[in-house]
Amino acid sequence: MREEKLIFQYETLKSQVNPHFLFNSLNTLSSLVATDGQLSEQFINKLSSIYRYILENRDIDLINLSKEIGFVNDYFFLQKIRDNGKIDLIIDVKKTENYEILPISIQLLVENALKHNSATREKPLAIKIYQESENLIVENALQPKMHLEPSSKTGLKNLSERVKLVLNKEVQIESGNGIYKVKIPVKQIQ
Amino acid sequence: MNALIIEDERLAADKLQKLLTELEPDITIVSRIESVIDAINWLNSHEAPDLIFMDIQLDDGVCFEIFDTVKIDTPVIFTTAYDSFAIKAFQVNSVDYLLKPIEKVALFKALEKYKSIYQSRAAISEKLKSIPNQFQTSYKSRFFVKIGTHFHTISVDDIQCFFIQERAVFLRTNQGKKYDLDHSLDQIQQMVDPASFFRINRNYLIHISAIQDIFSYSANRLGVKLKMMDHLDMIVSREKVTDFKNWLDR
Repeated sequence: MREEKLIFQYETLKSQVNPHFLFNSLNTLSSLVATDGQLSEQFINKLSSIYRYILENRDIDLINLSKEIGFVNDYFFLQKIRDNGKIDLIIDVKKTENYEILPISIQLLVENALKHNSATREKPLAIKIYQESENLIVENALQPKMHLEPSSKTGLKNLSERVKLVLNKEVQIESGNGIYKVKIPVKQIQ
Repeated sequence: MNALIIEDERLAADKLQKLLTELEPDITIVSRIESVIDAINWLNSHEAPDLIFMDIQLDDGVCFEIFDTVKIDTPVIFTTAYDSFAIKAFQVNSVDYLLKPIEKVALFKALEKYKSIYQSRAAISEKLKSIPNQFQTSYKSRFFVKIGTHFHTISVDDIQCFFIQERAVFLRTNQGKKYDLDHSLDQIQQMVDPASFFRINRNYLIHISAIQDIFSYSANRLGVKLKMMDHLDMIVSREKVTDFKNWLDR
């Protein structure tokens, strides 16, 4: 059990300190500093928050939903500056303080949606996050990238196992009618 | 120098363009494209640029999809944040592989590499093209042919056409006589005066004065009839019609 947990933590760390994300962000920043000092500063602050959140919370089992949502917002803020006008995130979750969730879980689902779906100016990608009883749902229109090499689904698989281990519940995936949905359990604070 | 930037992030493209303008004041960025599909459409409808900068991950897929659809002879400099695609990049016309954030020095070196390989190659091929013209000021005036144990020489002005039949090459005289030759039709085309002879298709090289009639064969194609010759396959191939008309009207 201990060993399994270590593996998950390691996988989380490995996938979250995603080098592609980091270097792309740094490249964006190196362009931004020349044109917009204020936005650059915001960009640096958010980037720091993201990495601090990962480092501080990767070892814990559950985190307050409001913090995870804040983290997702920071992450998306950076993505939106990069993908200007091609992606959108709609969060509709209430009473987040009353719930807990696995850390870095929603962000992983959002990142997956961005990774696997096409997001162009003509056809932007909208990601919705909302709650249905004991589940949080991350939903997007299914618009897969061209001939994408089949995904190993490691991130999602690890997340499912972490959820099972911590909450003894299942992550559910629904795909149909052009919509892709992942339902991840949350835990109400007693 | 005309360059095309294929990059899905506007800020990354801004940065690249800024660095390029600093390093190569003469550069023209012909377009900036963000997706695989737009890149394919652009490349299919525009003249090829001198150089392409290409990010690997694009809005709607990976850039290698472009190469699967469009034939690209233009050299490419790839840009990427962190990927394991370097091997794949070298299977296409890649000059270099730049890591983001792009450093000015690295970009400078990539441009130098491009110039040393491709610009000198272009200059050499221009020179090579002009060499035959410098040496070949005179064209062949006679062909030496063999009939059984006898030998003849035939003046070029006496030749109606050269043609391929059952893989052998023949010349045909104004009197309708046919002699086989050892040269290929491509070689003969180089030997004779292009003012008098025209290669209408893969099989025929014809003399201007032998033409009796030219008629429209189908949309965009022309048929040719030579004097005293009833070959029916003397059709000017589609891509040569314009040159053929120019040749008739020079």
